[in-house]
Amino acid sequence: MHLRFDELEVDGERWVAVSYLVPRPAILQRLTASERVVVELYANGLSAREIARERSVSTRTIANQISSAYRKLKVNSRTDLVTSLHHATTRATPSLRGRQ
Amino acid sequence: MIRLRAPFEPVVAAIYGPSVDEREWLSEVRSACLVAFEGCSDVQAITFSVDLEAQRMNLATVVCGAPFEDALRESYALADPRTFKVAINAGSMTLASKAAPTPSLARDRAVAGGVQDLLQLTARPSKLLHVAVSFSFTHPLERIPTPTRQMLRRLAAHLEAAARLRAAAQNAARMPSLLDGSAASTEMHARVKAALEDDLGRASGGEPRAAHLVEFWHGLLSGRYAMVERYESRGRRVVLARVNSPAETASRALSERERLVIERIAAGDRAHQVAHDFGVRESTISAAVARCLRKMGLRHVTELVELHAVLAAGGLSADLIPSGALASPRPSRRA
Repeated sequence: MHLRFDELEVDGERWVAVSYLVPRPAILQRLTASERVVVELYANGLSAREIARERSVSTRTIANQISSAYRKLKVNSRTDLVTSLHHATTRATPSLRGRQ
Repeated sequence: MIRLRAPFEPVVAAIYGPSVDEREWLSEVRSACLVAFEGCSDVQAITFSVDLEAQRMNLATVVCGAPFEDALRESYALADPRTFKVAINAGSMTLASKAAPTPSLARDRAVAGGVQDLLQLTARPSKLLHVAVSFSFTHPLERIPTPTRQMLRRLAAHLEAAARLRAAAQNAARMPSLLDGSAASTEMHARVKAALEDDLGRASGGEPRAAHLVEFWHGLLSGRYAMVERYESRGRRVVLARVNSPAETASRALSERERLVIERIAAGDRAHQVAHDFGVRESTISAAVARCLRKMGLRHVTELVELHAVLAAGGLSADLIPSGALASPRPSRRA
């Protein structure tokens, strides 16, 4: 089950949750192992600097990995990256753009 | 107790006014400062005084590592420093008197340098957590030397900018992250997550109806829900949101125009494209997006884009999105 919606109540406060399988799209196979990890962190909103700190490498290394991943995935922005990781799903998105 | 006034216009007016009673001016300056720094609670204190008897501006700059209120309490033995925030110059030493006790060229230079320091400090209002200014003088206002008046005017402008920034920061603080790191909230979240784990572990519950997803998405936009946490568990990504109280809902709701912007950004449009279509600057859109994300409890625009993509795939279909959001954009410049 890909997507689910849950409602719960804890101590009188109400909560809702949407959950879904973490996307592991085939396009990620084009990347090296470390590019894949870096790109997933980057798509989650971490900055290159934060990722560099976490992986104990230089910010420049991360920037290089991100840029080669962008080239391989044929994206040119972080937003593109996120949508391409959800590739199957973005096709269904009501596209508001002239973009393909 | 000094009466509060709208910040700083009175100060500037008074500085340039032809003949203003010094007490009145002093009171204006104090009120303005009090307005500007009411509620400040940390780190940096600056005091300076205009000594018209000596035709000099004397300055004492105090940058406290300790919280400001504590510093005030220690320096002036005040039981409740908040009410005396500005009227504190009584015993402050001056750079000038420290540098050279008698009037001299060296003293003039020291004073001028001190004022320059003060202007530099206040020129970065974002760094300006605390400024307390007090003036004490005995001569009429028109005898303030012109350069000093100009410096005072610039200072007033700096203080005004600091007040604006502070107001903006307070505004942001009204939309705090829902995970404040306190023990109570941490414990609460552990319980919510545990309960959710149970739910997710159960086989029951099927594909959500499209209505649920619409509800979730619109709940975020209308302030009814605010995202609290996004985490991974058992190979699933969970977006956990709290159902807000009516009061909180009102303050977190997106305006009609904010909604239009956020729908576009969520669908993957870039800020510059939206700005172009709306006929506003890109920075206006970026600021709106940052504000909206804060209201919705999201930390980064990628979270918005991903959530929208997932919900859209799940059946949040075009006809369920407010029609305004689907207004056809002008052809992209890139096309």
